[in-house]
Amino acid sequence: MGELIFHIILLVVIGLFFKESLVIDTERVSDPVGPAGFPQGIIVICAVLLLISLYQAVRKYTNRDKTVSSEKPAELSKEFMGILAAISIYLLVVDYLGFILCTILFFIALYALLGRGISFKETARSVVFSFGFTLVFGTLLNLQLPRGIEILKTFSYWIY
Amino acid sequence: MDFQLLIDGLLTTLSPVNLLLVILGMMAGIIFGALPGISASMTIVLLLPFTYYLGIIPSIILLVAVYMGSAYGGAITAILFNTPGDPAAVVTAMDGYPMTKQGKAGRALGLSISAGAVGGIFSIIVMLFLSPPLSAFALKIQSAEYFALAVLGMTLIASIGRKNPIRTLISGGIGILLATIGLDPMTGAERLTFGDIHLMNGIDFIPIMIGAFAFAEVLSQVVERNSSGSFNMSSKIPLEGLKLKDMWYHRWCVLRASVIGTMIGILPGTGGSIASIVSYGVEMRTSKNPEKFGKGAEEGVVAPETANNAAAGGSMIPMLTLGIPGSPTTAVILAALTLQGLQPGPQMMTEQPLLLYVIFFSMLLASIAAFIGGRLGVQIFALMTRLPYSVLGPTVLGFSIVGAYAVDNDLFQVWIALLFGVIGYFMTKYDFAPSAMILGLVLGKMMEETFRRHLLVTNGDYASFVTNPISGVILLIAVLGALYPLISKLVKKNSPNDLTQ
Repeated sequence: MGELIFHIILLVVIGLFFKESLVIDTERVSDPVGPAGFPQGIIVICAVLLLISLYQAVRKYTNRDKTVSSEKPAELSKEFMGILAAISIYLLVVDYLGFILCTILFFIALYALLGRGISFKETARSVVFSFGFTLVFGTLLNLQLPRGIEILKTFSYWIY
Repeated sequence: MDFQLLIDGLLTTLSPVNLLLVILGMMAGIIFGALPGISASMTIVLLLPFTYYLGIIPSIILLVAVYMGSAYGGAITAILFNTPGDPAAVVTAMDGYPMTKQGKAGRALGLSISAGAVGGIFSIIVMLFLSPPLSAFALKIQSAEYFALAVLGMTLIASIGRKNPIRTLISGGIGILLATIGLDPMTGAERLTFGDIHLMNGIDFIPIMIGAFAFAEVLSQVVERNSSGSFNMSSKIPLEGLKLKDMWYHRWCVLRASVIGTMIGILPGTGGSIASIVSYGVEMRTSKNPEKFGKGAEEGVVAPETANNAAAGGSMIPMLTLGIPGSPTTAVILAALTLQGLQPGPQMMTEQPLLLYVIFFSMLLASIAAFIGGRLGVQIFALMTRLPYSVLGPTVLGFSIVGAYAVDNDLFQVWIALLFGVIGYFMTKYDFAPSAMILGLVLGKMMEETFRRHLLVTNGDYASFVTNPISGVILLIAVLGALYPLISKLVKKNSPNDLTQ
């Protein structure tokens, strides 16, 4: 069933791209294809191939062994969803908490999710990784890592 | 060739300070090249301020060594964690990572670094002896030929996913479509941006690559290990190494890839990614066991790595002899030369011949140093695969997040990586091919631009793609390559053995 849903999502996205391609400004066209021609050609090819693929997927689904009971999808496990949630939360709060603190919390959360628990050792490892990343990317490579707000911002200037 | 200048160039490069700069530059290149999101050009830009305090020759030696080193580095994370350090390493990951899963990480890394060094040395020797005629040839290559080259690379897409060719083609098409997002290269019209300002400049392929490979791989591992409960188990798989004689076995593969890599590298604006794609495709087509590709075939690591490193040397040829950069990284080196008051081009060959020889030798020494040092160093890198996944997974995610962020210092790029991480995971699960999507993304821009530019120049003459001798031959090779599996199947079917049966 997941396969069918994935195909339908892709078809919807391709459809949205086609709709968007209709508003491309083609007034200044200088070449025979124009700015819209190439993407529209690719969209049409992709849509046709997706429909063929969807047909294959439907046939596969209808011919499946119906005696096998369907299990809970692996993607709904707490580890899978937890990782996606951890990354999303990280991206939402990193501008406020700053790179160092946010990365420490991110690593602690990931270690806990993947079964290492929350201990002094894992916290220390998270701190080492966070400062290691800051040193390499923030200090050595001069990347503009998020600094956070208020006191965290001031603190960050001491490090990178 | 002036042999006195050749000897002077060698002796200058072998001075202790310059030799140290070669080794340091090569090491820095390998380390930063291995970090996803940190490109060779970015590393060189970061090192530029240090060169202000060095003389002309030492600074150029340092930058050239970084360039060579970074060409090797991209493959390390691709092989170990399915996280390509640069687009050229996407193809390496297709067979390198399965080798790691089979307990051959040391061997895959050894093959990549040894093959890369040989490819690099090959292109440098070509550069030393054939620079002027090859540069003149490169100038004859125009839009039609570039388009044909992109098509040749695209024919590989159909061969990646033998499991489901239709879904592989869809993946490639999605990649090409993503490449068209942003401002139109010919008219400047806004395309497929959905009104989002972040998409005006198009989508960078680094976040998509990081998402579709690194994030998706972590998610796959989580699902796989969740069912087996092996998050905290250390891997006991052996780290099979590489003996020097094993490289001899791949000599023809290395030779083919070196020639392809050097020739493509010479063409301005191409670079290592196209070289590695075409070389992988050629190797797969000519292999007696094409079904092994994508499952840990050694040639699948040797060919793209040789071609990628040969292209690195090859792209220096038009830069030094004509002043035309062959890749984004050589464009940065060109800027560095200009900062030092030099003007690369024909006059440099007459006014600064010693510098040219020094560049040749520093690249050669960097390749030799990578060959010797890299063979020892890869075992240390390979040991990382023995970490339990509960430590390795978060580390890969950490590097991936910072790598995607580094592209533009913008969290939007990390969101893109996350989105394509989920898409990449489901693509792999349902037999689509994320690698085909990345290849489409890398080649799509060049394909569209050259296609439309050629039609503009020829007033819409579509037939000229075929009637033009060079592009015609390349397109013929592409068509034959695409039809090769079908032809070989037909030939086998009609062979006398089958008839007697």
